[in-house]
Amino acid sequence: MASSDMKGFFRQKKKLGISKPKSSKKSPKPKHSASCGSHLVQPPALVSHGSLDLQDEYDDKEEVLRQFDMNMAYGPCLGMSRLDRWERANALGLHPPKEVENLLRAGKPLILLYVLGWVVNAIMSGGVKDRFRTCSALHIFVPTPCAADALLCHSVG
Amino acid sequence: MAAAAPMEVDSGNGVVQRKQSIYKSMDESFEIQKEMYRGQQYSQIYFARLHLMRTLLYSLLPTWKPHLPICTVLGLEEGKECIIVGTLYKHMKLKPSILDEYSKERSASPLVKAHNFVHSDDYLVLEDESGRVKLRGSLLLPSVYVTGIVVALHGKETGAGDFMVEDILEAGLPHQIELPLNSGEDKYVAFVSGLSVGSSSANPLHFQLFVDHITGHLGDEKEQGIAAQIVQVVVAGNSVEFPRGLLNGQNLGSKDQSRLSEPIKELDILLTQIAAGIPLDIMPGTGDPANFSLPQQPLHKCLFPGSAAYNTFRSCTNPHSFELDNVRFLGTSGQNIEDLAKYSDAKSKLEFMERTLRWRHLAPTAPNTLGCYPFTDRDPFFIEKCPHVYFVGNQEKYESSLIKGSDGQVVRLICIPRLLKQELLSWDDLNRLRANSNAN
Repeated sequence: MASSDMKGFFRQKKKLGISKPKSSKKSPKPKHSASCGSHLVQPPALVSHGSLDLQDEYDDKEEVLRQFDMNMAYGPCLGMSRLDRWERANALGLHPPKEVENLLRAGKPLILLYVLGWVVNAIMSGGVKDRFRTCSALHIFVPTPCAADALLCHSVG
Repeated sequence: MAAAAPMEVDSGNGVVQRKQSIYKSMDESFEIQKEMYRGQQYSQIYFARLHLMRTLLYSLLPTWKPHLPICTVLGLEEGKECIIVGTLYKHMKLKPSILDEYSKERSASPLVKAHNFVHSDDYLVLEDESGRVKLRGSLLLPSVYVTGIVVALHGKETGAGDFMVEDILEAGLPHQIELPLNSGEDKYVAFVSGLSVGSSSANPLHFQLFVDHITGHLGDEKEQGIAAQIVQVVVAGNSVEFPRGLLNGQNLGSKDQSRLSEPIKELDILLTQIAAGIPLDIMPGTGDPANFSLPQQPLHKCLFPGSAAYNTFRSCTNPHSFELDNVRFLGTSGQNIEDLAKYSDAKSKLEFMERTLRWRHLAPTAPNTLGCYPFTDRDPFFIEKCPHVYFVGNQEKYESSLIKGSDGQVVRLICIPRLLKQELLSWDDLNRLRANSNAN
């Protein structure tokens, strides 16, 4: 994709200002820094709170769920869905936290939409297979009135 | 489930009616149709078992030793007397390891012959979620216990980091509903096991004699009168034996295929004669065409085209639990007791049976050394209600005893012998919990 930013094509030389002792005023160099001994310093944003940016994109909701997974009181977490494990803990009288249940059940409406789409697909695909093509990822109908168009869609998808 | 219509036995003078009983099946917890396998391992069933039995033991502690504190394994302090609750693990020197199968050459016969693996160097370890601790002391004999039992132990931690056991609390017999009052008439339940139809050493005459006896085709009026009092027949496992030579993994020709299905066809013919006149329960065993791991699922009805047509024919799970006139029966085809006999010692099979009842668990060695389904949220082998009759099939000889619990429970224990070895069938009197055996 063409970008208006020409700078992206050329390797940028780092400004010396960043690697200057300015860093000494900040929090101490992280212990696990991979750049120990090298001349390159990690961009300031990543070491701003003193640790490497090892987080993938997960938010604190996922953090709560992971803490629930790790809690040994509710038993092993492998081989069971989180909701099943919560329900088992509830059935055994272990009083698992309510907020975990709310987080787990909040995902349900999306699943319903999936199921609804699949059901409608199953009903419709019986008689009108030629008229409609379903996008396999989302079970959403994409009408293709033209045969050539249909050929194109088949070759692409 | 209603009993069958009474079978009429023509005795010449009049017609003898067979007695009836109200049958209720309690096999629901042993069925696995609703279970879904999601890649779980056995840690789930151990967690369910520990939690279930720990809650139970906690409720028993106040009457046992109320003054002692309860600790987790990780919370043990040296010299402090306390109670810990967890699952026992027995470290056995001679226990066969799966790795041995890979180090040696593969052969058709099993590498390890079934015998007793107990050794004087075995020791016990107690484990809960937080950790495990080695158990010491002369009270806990490793040869008596097996892996998988949940117990409460009173003792203290030693300097070496082990736990010196001073006392042990087992779950004990569960609550038992009182036996219904003696209604005056005697009713009998007949148990057989190990028919091994199709085996080279099986004699069809023995089983035919048994069938003739209970259907009233044998003997005089008095014999027929006794036969008419039999209300239920239970076949406890190992009803067929397939020719071993055919099951070596090679493709079968059509002649061999018909040889493979001969035993089941023969069994069906024999069972039809029984099912025609008396309610029949058939349980799968080790050699039967059912799944390997416990709980074994009922043998499929398509195997018994003749007998399954009768509503008196019931294919049941192994273990099997049912109620007849409110008398509770519980039993297995023998795998649980055989496994206990391999990994622990006792004077007789009845002693093993008594231990499983006192530990309140049918098969504590499952899933360690006994195949078992990986349940996630329950342990179906936990005995919730005390049976009145506890039977185990495929044993060496007929044995029976009566045991008593601390709350007044009374249980009749029966070891059912294999029909092949001795021509015996066991009778059990519903009313007075008497058991006796007859030579055919």
